[in-house]
Amino acid sequence: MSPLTIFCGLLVLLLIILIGLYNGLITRRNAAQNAFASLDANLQKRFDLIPNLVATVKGYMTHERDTLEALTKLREQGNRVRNEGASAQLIGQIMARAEAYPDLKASANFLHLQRALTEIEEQISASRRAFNATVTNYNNAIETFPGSLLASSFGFTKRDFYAAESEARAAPQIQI
Amino acid sequence: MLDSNLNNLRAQIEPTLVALEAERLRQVNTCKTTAFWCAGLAIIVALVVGGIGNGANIFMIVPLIFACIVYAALASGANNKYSGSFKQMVTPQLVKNFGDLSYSANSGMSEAAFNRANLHQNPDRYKSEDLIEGTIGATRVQMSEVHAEDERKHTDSKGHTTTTYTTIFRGLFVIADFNKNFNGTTYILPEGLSGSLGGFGRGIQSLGGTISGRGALVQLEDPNFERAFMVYSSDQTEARYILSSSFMSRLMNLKAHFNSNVSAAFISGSLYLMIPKRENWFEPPNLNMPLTFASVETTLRQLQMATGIVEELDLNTRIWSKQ
Repeated sequence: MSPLTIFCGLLVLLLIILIGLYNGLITRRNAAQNAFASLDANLQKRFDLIPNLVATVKGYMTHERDTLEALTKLREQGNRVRNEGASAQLIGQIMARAEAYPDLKASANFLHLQRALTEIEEQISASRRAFNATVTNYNNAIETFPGSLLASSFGFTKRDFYAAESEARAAPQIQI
Repeated sequence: MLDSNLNNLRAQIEPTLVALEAERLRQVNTCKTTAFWCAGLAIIVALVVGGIGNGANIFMIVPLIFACIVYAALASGANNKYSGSFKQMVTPQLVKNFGDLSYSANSGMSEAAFNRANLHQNPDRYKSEDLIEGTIGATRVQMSEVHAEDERKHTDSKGHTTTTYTTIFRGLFVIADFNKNFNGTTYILPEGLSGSLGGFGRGIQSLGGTISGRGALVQLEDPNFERAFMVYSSDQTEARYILSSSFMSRLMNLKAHFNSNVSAAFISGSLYLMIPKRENWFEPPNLNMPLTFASVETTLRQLQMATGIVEELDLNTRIWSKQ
């Protein structure tokens, strides 16, 4: 085997490895984007419950008008991700104050909403965990050798984790 | 089980135990009579054979062996009769104390359900018995003892083929209604050797998930859980929705509780749970043991462990939209 053949062989091998690494980075970046889309879809589900929640409770919770209006306004602003913490906090407040309204607590509509909200809160939490897992995977790939060499050349940048805002850490406490 | 519940149960089944003790004594007497006649006849025939052969000879052993075979068959019949009566009269009463449950000694979980769980390869020989089904609180459950085996054929150099069976799974197989809604499939399997091989091991596990049709490997945040289990799912987010941090810790507790390599599948709204255990589940006490309330303790303990799965996994908590 001539040195030229060996050189060409090594070059092809190197090219295959580079293509593999590049595709791996793209796959991981797409997985992170996909996980973020799934998180956003769940945040949308929570947003979609807001009109229902407001309609169900406003007849009972006459003293919580400000909270209900703030929640409605937040939904109208539309930025689900930026307003995630604030919306979770307001929903939490409404649910906590609902304890003081026995008629509301007994309403079938409200009970259904409570279940739906509990479910969506867990789904949001699961989406957040799934997103952070894909981001860890992606960040590890672009920060460790040899992925780091390729990442800097092709503009792969580190992604931030999705951390709950301080107000959202006080997750809605829903008791049935 | 609380002491008061235990006392109630004792009072409730005491008459049945007394009646069954009489049946047990009858079966024991049958065994003793059978042993007496078998031994007596075997000795007489052996002596006759010895006389014909002019002294002790090897053929004298034949009637003794024959007598042993006859005794074993008749004693086994007596034991089965006692066991059948116990399972018909006592076990259903014990089972009812753990929920709205029924018991059937001769039925079991279907092979189709075993295959649907996709936690083990499809077996060539499948046996199941002692089916318990009904509801515990808000949770519908079905469980039974299962023995699934794989057939292997070996052909030697002379062309003789021998068939052997190796156990794929033996233990308790449970299907319970899960308390959360989900659409995809998620599998939890005991961590294997590949788990200690780092990135290479994860690559092997990922490939295994694709080949078995269980889906993509899910890496969870709990290091203890990750050391004990590997998780595959068709949906990464849904797997995390099912496996909340509290549920992961409950599964770890369940594994410790049974001291067994538990595996689970979440399919079509149900939890399929397989708990490998070599012990014989829900069997009556030995025929030679006097039947008292204390002698049904093993059965009671097994029932408590099996039905306790619902509480251990908190399946009766229905705070989500599924009720």
